[in-house]
Amino acid sequence: MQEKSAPPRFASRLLAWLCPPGLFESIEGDLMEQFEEDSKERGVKRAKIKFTANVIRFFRPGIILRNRFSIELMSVTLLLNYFKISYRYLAKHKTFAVVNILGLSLGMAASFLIYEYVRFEKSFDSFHENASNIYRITTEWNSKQTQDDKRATTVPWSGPNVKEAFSEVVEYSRFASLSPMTGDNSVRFNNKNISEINIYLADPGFLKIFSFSLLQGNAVSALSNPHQVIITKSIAEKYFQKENPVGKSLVIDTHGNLSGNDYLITGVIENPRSTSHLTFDFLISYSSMWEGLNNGSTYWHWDNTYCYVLLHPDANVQSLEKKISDLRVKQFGNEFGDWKDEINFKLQPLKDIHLYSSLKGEIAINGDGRSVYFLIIVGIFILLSAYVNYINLSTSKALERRTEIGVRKVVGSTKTQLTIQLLVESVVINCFALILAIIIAKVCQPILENLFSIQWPALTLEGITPELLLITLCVVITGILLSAFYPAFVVASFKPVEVLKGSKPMSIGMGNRWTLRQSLTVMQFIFCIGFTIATFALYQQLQFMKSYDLGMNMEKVVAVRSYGFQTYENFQDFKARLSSSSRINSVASSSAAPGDEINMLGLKPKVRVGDQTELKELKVISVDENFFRTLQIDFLAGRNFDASSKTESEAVILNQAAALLLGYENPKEILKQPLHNLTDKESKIVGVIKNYHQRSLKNGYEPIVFVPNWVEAHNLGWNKNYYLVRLNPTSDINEIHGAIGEMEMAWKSSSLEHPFNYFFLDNYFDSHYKAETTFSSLFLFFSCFAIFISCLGLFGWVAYATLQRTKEIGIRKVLGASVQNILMLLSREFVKLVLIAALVTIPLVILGLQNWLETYAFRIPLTPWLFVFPLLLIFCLAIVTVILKSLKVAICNPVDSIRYE
Amino acid sequence: MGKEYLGEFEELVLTMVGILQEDAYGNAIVNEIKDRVGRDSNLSAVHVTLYRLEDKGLVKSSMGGSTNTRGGRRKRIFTVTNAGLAMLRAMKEARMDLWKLIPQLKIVGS
Repeated sequence: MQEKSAPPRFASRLLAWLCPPGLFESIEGDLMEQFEEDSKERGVKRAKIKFTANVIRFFRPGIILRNRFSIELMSVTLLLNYFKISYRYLAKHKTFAVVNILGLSLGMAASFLIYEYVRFEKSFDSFHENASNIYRITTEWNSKQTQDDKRATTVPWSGPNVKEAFSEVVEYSRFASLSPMTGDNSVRFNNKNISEINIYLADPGFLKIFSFSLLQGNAVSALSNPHQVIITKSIAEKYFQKENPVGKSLVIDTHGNLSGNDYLITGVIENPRSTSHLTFDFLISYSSMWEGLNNGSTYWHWDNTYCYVLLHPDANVQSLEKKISDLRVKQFGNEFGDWKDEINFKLQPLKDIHLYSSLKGEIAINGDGRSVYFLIIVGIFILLSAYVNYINLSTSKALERRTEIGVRKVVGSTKTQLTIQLLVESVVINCFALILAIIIAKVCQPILENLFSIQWPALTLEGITPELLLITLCVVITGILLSAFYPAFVVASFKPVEVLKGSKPMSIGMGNRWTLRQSLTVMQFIFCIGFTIATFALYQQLQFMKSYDLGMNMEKVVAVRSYGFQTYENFQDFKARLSSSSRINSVASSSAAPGDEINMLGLKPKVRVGDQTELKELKVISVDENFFRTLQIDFLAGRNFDASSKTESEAVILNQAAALLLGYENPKEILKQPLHNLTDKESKIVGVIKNYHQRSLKNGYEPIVFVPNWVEAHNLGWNKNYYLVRLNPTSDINEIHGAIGEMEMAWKSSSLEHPFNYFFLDNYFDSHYKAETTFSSLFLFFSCFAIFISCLGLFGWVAYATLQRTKEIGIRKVLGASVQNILMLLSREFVKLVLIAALVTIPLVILGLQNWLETYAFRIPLTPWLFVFPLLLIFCLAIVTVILKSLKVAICNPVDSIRYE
Repeated sequence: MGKEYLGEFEELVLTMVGILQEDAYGNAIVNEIKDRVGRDSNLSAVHVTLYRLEDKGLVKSSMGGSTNTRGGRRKRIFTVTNAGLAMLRAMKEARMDLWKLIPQLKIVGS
């Protein structure tokens, strides 16, 4: 009866919590009195409900505010005391504080930097409002020779026809570079050449699908009629200054390929952002293109256009892909005639293009999603290992403070208060580290950019996203809690009497017991070793590729960019002017510089040899007779082109890969065989050259046919061209400068107003390894971070462990142990941990490396050296760290060390 | 005097404290208001008002002796201070003065 009639417990507790202690008793008393009355009058049940309701009514500012004020006053003093103690403690243990704060801040800084980079890479194309509903139509070609030929481009047909047929497609826009179709163009305004010639054709839908904002002009009509052009803001500012460009007219010379050269400026568009995979200077209306290509009714092999579609939010992408492929078969099943190609259309989400797409014919070299993913892992591990250090150190330090804690307990400190003390210290360290980390990241960012010449997004105010804040907060709070509560848990278990008597010092993992700390350290080193080996291997592969015998010699070859509107006579003139120079060995011209993807006007000839019936696809490069000599490419059989001979018009030269593709293993046998289908006439194979690497070593050899570029049948003079100039092999820097000066003079007098652009061929070729170079530098940079942090942790731990054993070492020395003995004793434990880490890491790394190396057509073998060198490095560093710290104790006078404590 | 103003409920509670004398604590005031004015008031509201009056110096409080009822919890007994009494008196007089100014004719006429 008595129990039943008591008011609900939880309500009383609630009241106790919300009431100021001074008022609680009388308030509770009043409530109880009411309760007693109520239970007599209306029954216990109703009374209980009323009691609770009344308690809840006490949630009013008049009560609660009285309360909080008094509590705050009390804790402020205590908190100040906590801070004071923390400060004193850190000031006293400087090594500990420095190691902790430095390690933590380095880890945080590294992850800040990585976060910013990853965010930048991931933000590509997401600024478009409709980004998640925009898809790019890509194609997979299945011909007899090549299966699954995946291309980023599509046929012009897939734009208008797909929109017309399927209601899911809200809007389409094709996007095609003008130059593969019409050769090099020149753009003039008021008879002044404009050097930016990044011209793309786009449909009116372009402005609707994408969120590039039109600064001037009408978005609906700006691209709807032929011969309209939109220019970017930077072009407008550069060439029109204060004039209003809209309504003026530009000349885009397409060598008569498109009718009429005058284009009306109908708009000014914002410059494409750095996070856009689409870049352009001019957009001209797609309808300027000739009819067949514009409406897409024919030209199935002219697949040089990109096509973007805006889909309805609930469109089924997979089924639409299939429907598009079927539609093409239905409309044009037999159009292909001889080729028997089959096209599968695919829809690729816009946001995936930058990181996850590496199809043939991408607009630009895309980012690498795998590397970004890898960087994220690296960032997480660096941060983790920084926190591992931190937790390790603070736990062992907490153990060391057992006397202090014992005294505190005796004086009357509660468990909560001890925990808060540790918590406050943790907060202080973490805050320091966070501030330092931001400074380090700020300082490192320009260094990273300069050192590795990459663009690194700065840690700016706008870069501080809610996401970043949230992550930082989570990480810091987790770190604080982990580092404070584990020691608090240990500390709370101390029995003050035993601690104060000084009996039984706690073990700190120096015995045989496998502790948490040891596992954490092993993990740290597993990561550290794996990381170093990976960096080393990446670097080796890069060196291997850069020093590989490419089958040609690009050293001291300068390529001069020529323009399609320069004639063969221009070139002859240029060559003649340079022929007298002693600094220059030879001059050649070619439609593709080594390193280029071969794409001559989109030509993909399919040829056959002799009586064969099957057609094989080759790539074409048009060259002059000096090309092979200038690049020092060897002939396997036959001869070079002969410029003086009149009968040279049918001559072609193959590379070894092409001869092999056509079925001739012995290059001599293919000579003099008639080659059909390259031109209207039969071609004659006059020579076969040794394979050379036209593209980077990531790709294999491509089958190439070389045609003479001065011959009428191959008169593709308006195609993109390079003049390749081989300098004297012995020339030094000054002579190279002199030679370039001469070339500029020759250029100016042979082709007047066009800008002189040159580059060194070997640099240009190496730029294909930009991704690898960047990432090897990045990994190198961050592996330094990781190694430093790991060693810092080791250092802290050794410092602590040796301190613990000061007395023991003194006694050992008295008993006759040498310095070496002591060092051995101290470092044995740590070396063991590093060794275990190495044993675990190596098999994992072997697997990973094998996978990665397989993406290269030409790669380094997996030799033991690849592992031994980085391992030795880490071992040495670890041992140096250990010895550095323990040497001081080992050599000191035993009298001092025994007296310690 | 006269700078501080009292709300209607505050005045009511203050008056009740004056009436109840040694027996003025939270619950008793709630009951007294119910009995004399016939108005339901909430215990928490009364408590808050009492504390506010105490802040203004119109009442003072002390803990009473423990009893067997109310779970042995002591009562907080409130007493009116001189300032409180003066305030009550001033308010009553001010009201009476105002009352006199209302024309009495109207009552006769109706």
